[in-house]
Amino acid sequence: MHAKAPRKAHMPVATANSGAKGNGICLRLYVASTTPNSERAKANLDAALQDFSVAPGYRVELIDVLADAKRAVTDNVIVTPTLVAIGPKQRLVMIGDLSDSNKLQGLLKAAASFS
Amino acid sequence: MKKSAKRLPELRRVCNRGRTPKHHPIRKKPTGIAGFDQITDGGLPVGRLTAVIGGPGMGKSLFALQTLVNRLRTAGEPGLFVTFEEPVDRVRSNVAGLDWAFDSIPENQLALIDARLPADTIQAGAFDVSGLLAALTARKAAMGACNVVFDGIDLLIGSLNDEYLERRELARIDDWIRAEGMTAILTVKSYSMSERDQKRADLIQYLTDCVIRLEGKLFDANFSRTLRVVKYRGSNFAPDAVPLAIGHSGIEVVPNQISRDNYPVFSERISSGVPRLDAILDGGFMRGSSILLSGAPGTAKTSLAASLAAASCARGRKAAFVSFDESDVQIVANMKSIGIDLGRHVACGRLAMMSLRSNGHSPEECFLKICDLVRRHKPDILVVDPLSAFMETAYPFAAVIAESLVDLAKSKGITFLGTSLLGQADGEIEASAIHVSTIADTWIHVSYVVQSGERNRALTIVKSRGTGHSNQVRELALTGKGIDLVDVYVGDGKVLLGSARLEKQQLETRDVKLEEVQRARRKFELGRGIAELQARSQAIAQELASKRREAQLEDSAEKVRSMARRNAITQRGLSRRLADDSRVHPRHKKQRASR
Repeated sequence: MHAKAPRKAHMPVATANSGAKGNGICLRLYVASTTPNSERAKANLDAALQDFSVAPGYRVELIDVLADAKRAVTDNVIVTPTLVAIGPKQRLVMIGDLSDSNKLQGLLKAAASFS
Repeated sequence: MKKSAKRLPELRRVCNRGRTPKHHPIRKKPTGIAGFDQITDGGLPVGRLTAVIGGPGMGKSLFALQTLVNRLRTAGEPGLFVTFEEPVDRVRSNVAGLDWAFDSIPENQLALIDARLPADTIQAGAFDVSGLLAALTARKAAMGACNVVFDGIDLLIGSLNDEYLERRELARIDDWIRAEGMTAILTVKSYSMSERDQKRADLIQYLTDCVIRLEGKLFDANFSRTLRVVKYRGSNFAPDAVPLAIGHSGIEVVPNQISRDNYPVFSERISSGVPRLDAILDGGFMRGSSILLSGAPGTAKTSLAASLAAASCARGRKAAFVSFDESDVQIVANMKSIGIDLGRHVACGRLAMMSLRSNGHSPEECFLKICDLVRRHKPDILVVDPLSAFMETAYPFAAVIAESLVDLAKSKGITFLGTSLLGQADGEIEASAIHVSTIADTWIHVSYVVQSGERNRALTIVKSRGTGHSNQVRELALTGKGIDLVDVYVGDGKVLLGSARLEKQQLETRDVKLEEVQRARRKFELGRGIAELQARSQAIAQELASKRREAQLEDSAEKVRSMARRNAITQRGLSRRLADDSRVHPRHKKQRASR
C-alpha cells in the first residue's frame, strides 16, 4: 500500500494538497519505477502543477506498477506513464511522458472544472 | 520477487551466452491445429515470440486464441490473452459460435485482458509498455500462465509513431517473454496504408523468431485463405502456402504434404455390386485402394458409385457417400429407380450421406467436412461424387485437396471412389484429372458411343494397379434391376453397342437358323435321293433276280427241250431204222441217198 501513499521524495510540490478543502479531484500517475519515461513524466507533472496557479485541491497519487503489480492489474494499467484525473463523475486519461505541456495544461484545466 | 531470484541463473545463462558452451536446440509446443503442427514439425517455439501477420478477417486472433485454448485443454497450460483492439466481451462472442465451449473456461485458466486505451485518451509524449508487463507478470504469477497472446499490439505501439520507440517497446516485450519463460504470439495487421505501417510489420518480422502469414485472395468469386510460415529460427519448416479454413471448430490447416507411405495394404476384394464388373476386375476392387470413375454427364457414374456403397453396406460394412450439388434424398430416390436401395442402409446407419455445395465452399472447407464425417462415421468405403466438383472451381488448391482426400482415405484403409466429369473423347483428358489419376489405383472410364441414332455407355478399365483386368470395352446397361455389363459385339473391325449390337446379334442368329434349315433340307434331299436310289437298286436287284430266275428257267427249259429233241431223234432214228427195215420214207430215202 505504500505506493498508494504520496511519495514526497519524488514529487515534493505536487503531492502537497494545495487547497485545504479540495474538490475531490484525484490525479493518479502510474509509473514504472525510474524508467526514463516515468522520470520525465514525474518532472513534467511537477512543473505543470507549480505553474498552474489556479490549482484547486488536487490529491496526487503516484503508483509504481513495478513495485505494486497487483495495482497494475486492478487498475488495468496498460502503458506507463499514465496520468488519470478522476473527478466525482468524470475521468480523463493521458498517456506519455507528459512532455506536451499544452496538452497537460489542458487536462489540468479540464480537471479543475470537474464538478 | 522470489521467483525472479530463482530465475536469475537462467537469465545469466541467456545473457552470457558466449560463455556457456551448451546450446539447446529449439523446443516446440503443438498449437493443437493439426495441419500447422505438421508443417512446422511440432508447433510454436517455446519461450519465444511468434508473429501472426495478416489482413483484416484472416483469422489472426482466432489462430492465437485457439492455440491458447488448445494448450489449456491438451497440456493444462493456463494462458493470457491481451486484446488491444476488441473489448473482451466481443472476443468472447466471436468464439461463442464455435464448438470450443469457451464460456466454460474459468477466468483463472484463460484470462482475457482488455488492454485498450480509453477512447478519449490523450497522448502527450512517449510511453512504454512496462505497466502492462508488470500487470502481466502479476497475473502470470497468480495463474501459472505459460502462454501469452498480444492481439493487435501494433495498434498500441503504432501510436508512438516513431521507429526507434516502437522498436524499443517490441524489444521490451521480447525481453519480458524470455525472462518470464513465456511463449508468445503477437498478432499484427498487415496493411500497406503507410510506409510506417509497412516498416512496423517488417520490423516485427525481424524481431520475432517465427513468422506466420495469413492471407486471403479472390479467385474469380471464390475466396481462398492460406497460411504460410515465413520464417522459423532454428527449425526447418514447409515454406509453401497451405490452405486454411475457418469452420465451426475454428481454424484448420490442410497441409499439402502427402506422405504416400505407411498405407495399410489389403489383399481383400470388394465387390462393386456389379458381378460382371467384379469379374473383369479379377474379383472386385482392392480394399483400401482408390478408384477414379470418369465419364461424361449421365454415364451412370453415380449409379456405379451407389452400387459399390450399397453392396458394401449389404455385406455389413459402413460407407459414406458425399455428393456435391445433388441432395441425398434425390440420390436415394434416383438409385431406387434402378434397383439400388440406399434408403435401407441409411435407415440402419451403415450408410452416411452428406450433400455439399461446391459453390460457396472452398475445397478445403469441403475437405474438412469430409474429414469430420470420416472421423464420426468411420466408413470402410468413401464415395465422393463428383470429385471433380473440387476441380471445376477456380480455387488454387483444388487439385491438392483432391489428392489430400485420397490420401486421407488411404491412410485409414478406406476404399475410396471418386467420380470425375470428363469430356466425351477417350483420349482427351483434362490435366487436373490426370493429377488425380496418378494417385488413383483403378481408373474406370465410361464414355458414350453414338451409333445409328443411339447413345450407349461403354465402360473401359483404363488402369488397375496390382490387378489383372480385362482390356475390353463393355457395354454398361442400366435396368430396373440394377447395373449390368454386356459384352459388346466385336467383329468385322467394328465395335457395336446397343441396338446395333442387338441387331447384329439377331442378324447373326437368323443367319445361323437359315443355315440350319438349309442344312436340314440338304440332308433331307440327300436322304431322299439315297432312299430313291436304294429303292431303285432294290428294284434292279429284284429284276436281276427275276431275270436270273427267268434265265435259269430258260436254261432248264432248254435242257428239257434238248433232251426232248434228243429223245425224239433217238426215237425217230429208231423208228426209221425200223422203217428202213420195212418201208423207207421217200424224203428219208433221198437223204439217205445224198449221204
